[in-house]
Amino acid sequence: MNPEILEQMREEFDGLKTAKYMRNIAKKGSCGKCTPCRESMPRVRVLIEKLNAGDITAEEHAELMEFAHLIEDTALCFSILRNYVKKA
Amino acid sequence: MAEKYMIIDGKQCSFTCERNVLEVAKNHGIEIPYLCYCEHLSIYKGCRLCIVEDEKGDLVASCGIEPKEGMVVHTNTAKVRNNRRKLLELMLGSHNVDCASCEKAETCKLMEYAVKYGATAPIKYNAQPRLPIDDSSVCITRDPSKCILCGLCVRTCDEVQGVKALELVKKSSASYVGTAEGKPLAQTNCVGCGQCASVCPTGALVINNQTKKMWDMIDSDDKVVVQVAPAVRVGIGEAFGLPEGEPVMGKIVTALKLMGADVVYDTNMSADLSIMEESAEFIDRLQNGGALPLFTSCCPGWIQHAEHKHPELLHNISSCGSPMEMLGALVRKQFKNEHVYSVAIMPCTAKKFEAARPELVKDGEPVIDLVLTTSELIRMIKEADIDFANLPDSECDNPLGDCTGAGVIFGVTGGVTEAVIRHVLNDASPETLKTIAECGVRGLEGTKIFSVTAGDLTIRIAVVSGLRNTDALIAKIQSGEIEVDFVEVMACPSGCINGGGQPHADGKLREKRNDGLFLADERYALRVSDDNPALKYAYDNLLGGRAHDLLHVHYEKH
Repeated sequence: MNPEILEQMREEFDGLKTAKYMRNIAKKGSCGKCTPCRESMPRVRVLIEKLNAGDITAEEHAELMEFAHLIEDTALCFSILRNYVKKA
Repeated sequence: MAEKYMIIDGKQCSFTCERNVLEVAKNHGIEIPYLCYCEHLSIYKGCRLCIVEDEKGDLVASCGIEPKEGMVVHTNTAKVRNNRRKLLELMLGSHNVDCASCEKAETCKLMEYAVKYGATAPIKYNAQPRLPIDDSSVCITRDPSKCILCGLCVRTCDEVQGVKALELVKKSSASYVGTAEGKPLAQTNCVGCGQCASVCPTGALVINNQTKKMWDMIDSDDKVVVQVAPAVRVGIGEAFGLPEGEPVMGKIVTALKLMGADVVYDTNMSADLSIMEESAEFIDRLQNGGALPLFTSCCPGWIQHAEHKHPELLHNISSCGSPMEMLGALVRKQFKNEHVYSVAIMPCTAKKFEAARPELVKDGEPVIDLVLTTSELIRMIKEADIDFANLPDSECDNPLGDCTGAGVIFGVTGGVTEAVIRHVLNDASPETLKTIAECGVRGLEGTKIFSVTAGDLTIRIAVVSGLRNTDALIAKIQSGEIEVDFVEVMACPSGCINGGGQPHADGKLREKRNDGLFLADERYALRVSDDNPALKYAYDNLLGGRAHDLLHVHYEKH
């Protein structure tokens, strides 16, 4: 894996506002309440590990980004976070 | 209430006090999909299918936001569509897609949405070990491999029934719906009411389908004698395109005969019989210091709940069998010289449990061989390719086929009580019937407390439906906060019209079924139980002075 491309991939994921939360959830497990996170987290965990290890294909990175956007856009906790930010 | 407006999909939508944007949309003919929402339960926001796009371009669950004046949302943008599709594909990936042989195939919401929203590529990345099927209960079957974790069953069993036989076990991606203490359902405090199966959007919780047994009985050489409960007739028509809640007993009789049933009776008749027996018991207790308040006994979900949670009240419960039991006992005597199959079509899943109880064995034979729910009857009618909607009406068989309006209203909360009041006042004049209708006994509210005066007798009455409401009422009675003489209990909210065996009904449909039953009541020439000529036949020709043996049951403290 070309180190420049890997770096771009990492930036793209970690550049998400929710990347830190997602890494945390992937490590500790989701609460299990809402569909996007509960159902995709086992795969997201694997993909994040691959990203960390530098052993990830372009397709897998695209897949990770797709799940990340799904979680960011539709997960319950992120929706709540957005609403609190809006109110503040 | 002042009318306000919000904008959904560019359309001005008025609202008043709707609970959320999802309900506002529904009222304006905009169908936002949802799996974990129910108007009668707390809001969960877990499935995420009801997402809509707000003005900022963010997605938000429409079940969880209150409508506000001037609010703008879109239900079908590219962002909504793409995310909704992916959510469905994730759900399908974890799902047991055994659809062709699934009980829920025709009415599964997951399948409906998968087709409607183009979820054709299931994402299979959360492969959890498959949890085993729980078929311990004779009423309902649990298949966790079809569960989508909407939690509706858990919340129904908790918030509506207060039974809590089902539990959401939180284990991240391996979360699942289990039972209290992990026991097989039949060993929990489950009362078999089937409200969980009614509200379940998939095949994870289904009525135990026993239609094959009925076909076997019909195929045999022995006669099949079928009784049909009041509430069935207002819960079945909609499956065949007939108006919701319209009473269609005449077509049910024709359909059963076409299917091969030999004799068809109406449980309405034995509802009248139970009024005679239970009223006599009640007056006796009033006059001779018997256990008061008297609690009705026709609801098997209530009986099981009392056995689990209120055993000290067992001697307050009427000793009368349910109308189903009574008619079963009469059938055995009517056909005493031959073996017949005694079948009951019920709006109720708990009746399957009741039929198998030792207390329903009379003179060495169970009075009911099989209970099928309304939903199962619908299955059989479709399987037999019967054009239900266009069937002519048929009458029930005699000599037990006579019915009254008092009997048919048993299917709704307050109906048993209203029939008792009509008997006690014994006056079928329009004025008296109207006064009774307005005394506080009618309506689908969970708890109704009122009094009725007949001569110098005043009876204080409580009518309750839903088991959480029942527990609350019992607590008030036992603490002395409320004093009543007579309590009608139905385990299912709104009574049997919303039984676990009926096609699922929201609040509006429950009202229609309620109205349909009272319409059927008005169409009967006879409105008071006493006037049913079949009663005399039963007492004189069938019961042989053994009414107490045959028509009463005794539930012992365990």
